[in-house]
Amino acid sequence: MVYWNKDLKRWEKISQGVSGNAAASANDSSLFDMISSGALGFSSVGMVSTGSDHLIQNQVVVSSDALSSYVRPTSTFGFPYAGKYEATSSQVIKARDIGINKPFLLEKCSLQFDSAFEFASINYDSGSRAYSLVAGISNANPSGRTALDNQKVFIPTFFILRQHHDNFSKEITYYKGSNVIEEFKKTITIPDSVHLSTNNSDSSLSTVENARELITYGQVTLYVSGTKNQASSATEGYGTQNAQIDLNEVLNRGLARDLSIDILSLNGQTNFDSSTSGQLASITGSFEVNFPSRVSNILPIGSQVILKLSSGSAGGLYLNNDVGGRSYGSLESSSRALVNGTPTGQLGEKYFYFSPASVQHLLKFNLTQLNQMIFTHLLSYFQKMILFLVGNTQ
Amino acid sequence: MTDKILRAAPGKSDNRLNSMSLFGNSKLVLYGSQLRDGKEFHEGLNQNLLSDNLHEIIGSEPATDQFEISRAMEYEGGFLDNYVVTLSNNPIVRVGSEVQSRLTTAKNLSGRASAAISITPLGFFIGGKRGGINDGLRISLTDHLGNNAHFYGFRHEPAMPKNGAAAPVLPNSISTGSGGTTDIARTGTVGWTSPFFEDLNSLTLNYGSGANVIRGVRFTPILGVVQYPVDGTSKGYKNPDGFIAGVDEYFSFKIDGGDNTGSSNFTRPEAFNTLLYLMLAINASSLDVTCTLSTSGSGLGLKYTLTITQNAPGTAGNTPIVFKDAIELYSVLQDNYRFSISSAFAGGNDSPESSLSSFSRIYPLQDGARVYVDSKLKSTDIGFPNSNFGTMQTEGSPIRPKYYLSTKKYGQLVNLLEQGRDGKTTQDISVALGARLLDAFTGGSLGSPVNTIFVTGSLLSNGVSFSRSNPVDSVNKTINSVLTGAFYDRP
Repeated sequence: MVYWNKDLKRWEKISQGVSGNAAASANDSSLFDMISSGALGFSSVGMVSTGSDHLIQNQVVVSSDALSSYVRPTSTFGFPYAGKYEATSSQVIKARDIGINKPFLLEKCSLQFDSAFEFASINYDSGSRAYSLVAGISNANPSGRTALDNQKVFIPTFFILRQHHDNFSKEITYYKGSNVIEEFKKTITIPDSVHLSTNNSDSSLSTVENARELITYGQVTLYVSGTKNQASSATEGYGTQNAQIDLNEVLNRGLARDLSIDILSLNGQTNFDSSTSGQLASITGSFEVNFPSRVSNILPIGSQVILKLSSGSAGGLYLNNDVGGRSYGSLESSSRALVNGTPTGQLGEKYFYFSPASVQHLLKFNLTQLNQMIFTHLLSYFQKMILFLVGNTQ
Repeated sequence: MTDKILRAAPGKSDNRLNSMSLFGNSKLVLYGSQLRDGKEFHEGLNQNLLSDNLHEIIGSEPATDQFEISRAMEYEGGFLDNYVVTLSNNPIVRVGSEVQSRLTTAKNLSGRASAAISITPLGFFIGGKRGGINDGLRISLTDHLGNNAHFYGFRHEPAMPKNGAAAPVLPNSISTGSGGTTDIARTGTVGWTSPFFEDLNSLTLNYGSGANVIRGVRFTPILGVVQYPVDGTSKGYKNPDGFIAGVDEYFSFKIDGGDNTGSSNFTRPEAFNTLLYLMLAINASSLDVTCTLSTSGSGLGLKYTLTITQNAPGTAGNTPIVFKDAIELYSVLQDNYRFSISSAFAGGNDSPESSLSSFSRIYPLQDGARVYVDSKLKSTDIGFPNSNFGTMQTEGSPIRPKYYLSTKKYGQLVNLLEQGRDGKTTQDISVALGARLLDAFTGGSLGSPVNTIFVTGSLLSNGVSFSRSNPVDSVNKTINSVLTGAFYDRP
């Protein structure tokens, strides 16, 4: 996660990182430490499709409820109110400095930027498959899955926070596990003493007295719509041979966000097969992403990230959002929304994994009944946000 | 964030990673508007730009809607958050008083660790021990800031044990004397003078022999002789602690009762005074604590308790209390008195109860200073004891307004003030004066902007008087009842 330094004109890494191996310990203390110190604001892309096997004709795209919940603000790592997300002075832009000196009703943002996107080398462990989509491929084993080597989605997120003086103690809930899902509690307090950079020495601890709220965020979906998996699944790191899903449907149902970019249409590669095409070529261009002022939903169970957990084997850390809204869930944290700042509503279906049976249920559920959860999503996209009141704060 | 960080994250040797590199100038445009009367409002160009000159009238900015949406904590440090800690309503006395934050100061003792030391002077304990404190003990306290102070109790004179080193390592020019075989360092004054405790750091302590000899025991105990500190020329004990010189504080306080054999009881005043002198010593130290001395029980169970409370909330105040009875410091000393002492400060909490996001601490939601006028109409001192009309059905009991908080204004002081502008209420002086002297004139009712004055008996110059008869309640009020006491001219 990076913040913009307005003085040095650069992006700066904040807080500590997140690792797949660092969380492994017998007593969960390492996982707890990583959650306490790591910066992770938005969840992952979970399973996007499932079926009785890996062939596209037997695959069913999961519901909009599920797809829309991916890559959303997550409270598991205390984003954005925990002290580790503190923006230092050069990372703060006062509203008055950009001409907002009276109550301003923010309705929409437009971000225009020039960027080059490069993609990891084709080696298995280089990160090239980190953003390959994942599909379930078994009726019997709901955890049976394959990576789709040639169908990828990257969703970088731009967000705006408001930082303010605060004092609170908030208990958040997170979940982890493989066969058995365990619930954990963690208390976040402000003021707090935290690491604000990747330097984790004791002498670099900073006292933080501010909390933050998420004004809004915008997302760009970059996707690779390559072929079905060509390589033999016996090849290290490759997904099941011939595995493929309906990427268009995945995008249409929820992974397409404020701006969609077809990487292959920009980099000149007519098709992509990781076993024969070689390197996924980089792209460069000017982009414009428009997004409204939006508020986060409550997500009791979010998508997961696969880590090595206390048992020594791999398990999921669920990136849920048990408070929703823009901050830590208090009434005050919704006060700047003109309408409906407090996320409420009927919960959708809980899910930990997608078996074909469960996804069929969700699919039917979604297409035949306009569920309250969908309303909640729709509403949340059109929240409006009162920006800074200069002169009204300390 | 990838969902496959365990198996698909890059390693250190990888040099081509997934990356997004911004270049050139980026632009973020915020779309929206100001609000005026709840409607979109854009402040446009207010003059024709026909020259290089711009003209703006100061104070003529367009008024826009304001929103009470700041969190309460954002007021911390401002004048709304401050309150003066004083019990006096005399403005002169209040000058210089401590100012605290309404929002972050913990309520009362919430979150503050405390410990207790108590003596039951008339109590009896196992082994025939008596209620009291053994001569020569040490109590070491640590406050929430990490300050250490040691308190030595002696009966006959201010003293402390000599450090076990060949030369004392305590600060402040302790005279080494010429001895080395005795181990009580004492002040130059033999005997206690009011206030019965001494700051040993600020005094020259003597021990040894010759002119500076103190009445302590020898370093090597005399076998077969019960030895007590400072009770004779050959009594005393050795301090094995080795405290850090120049960091800790040392005090000696008077043990006001008992004797060197443990045969006589502490009287009640002696037990009380012993704790009092310890309290005075603690108060004189740099420890950031507050002491209170209390009495509980009666008869043989009468107990005096010195409660020591950290001055700031938090687990940092949960410090251990190191207590060494005299016999622990030196085995031959007497061990005939018993008292109670906490092993540590306990109860310190990092999340103490405080008003935090609400001003309701100072401004209770139940308004104690105002009362609805109509609700008191039936009370006898108002004058309508027999009427139920318009009395809010209270039988004369006052109804007080409450403050209502909305999600839009939660915790905002201005919200409470707005609701205070209620013309239907009156100031309840008796409540204000009785319970909250300082607030007698705060939170007062504004009163109705319109007052109705009934015509009372008056005599005009032509001799005609106007008056109104007293209202007469009908016995059986019905929906058809009518008022019969209309005005009429009385000749």
